[in-house]
Amino acid sequence: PFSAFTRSAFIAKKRNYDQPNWFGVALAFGTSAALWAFLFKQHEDDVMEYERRKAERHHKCTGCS
Amino acid sequence: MAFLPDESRSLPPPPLVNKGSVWLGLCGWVAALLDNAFNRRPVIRAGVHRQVLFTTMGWFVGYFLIKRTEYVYAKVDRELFEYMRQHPEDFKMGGS
Repeated sequence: PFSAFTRSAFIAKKRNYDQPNWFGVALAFGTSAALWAFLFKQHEDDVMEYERRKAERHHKCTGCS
Repeated sequence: MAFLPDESRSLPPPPLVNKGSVWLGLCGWVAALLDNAFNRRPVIRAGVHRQVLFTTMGWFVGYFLIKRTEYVYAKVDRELFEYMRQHPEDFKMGGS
């Protein structure tokens, strides 16, 4: 085959879907889970950082009472 | 300029369910459905792992894009209000 990005209709094979591509499935679900976990953690961190800075700003302006 | 400068963390973060995430998540899901259609597979029943992955990627990218969007809007607002503060004569409301 020439290029990896083109698929000539003359030499194309019909895909066989009898057996699931378990490796691909595991990779896809695994990556999705990792992305969601990272996103939730990132959001938690963002909220904490925002609250922290808000408290810091309030503290600086009003001083300690 | 950095994608998300440090001062962007002083802004309230967007909720996990936000416009960008929902829209790009939907785009990702539709892309997976289209992939099924183009490859002559059952459109919604096939490749669920692919649908989940594409939707997740869209949701993920959407969150960070919305964060940057809100930062850019806030920055422009800050500059606008600062200009208005420095040129009050140009922004006199009411008569006289």
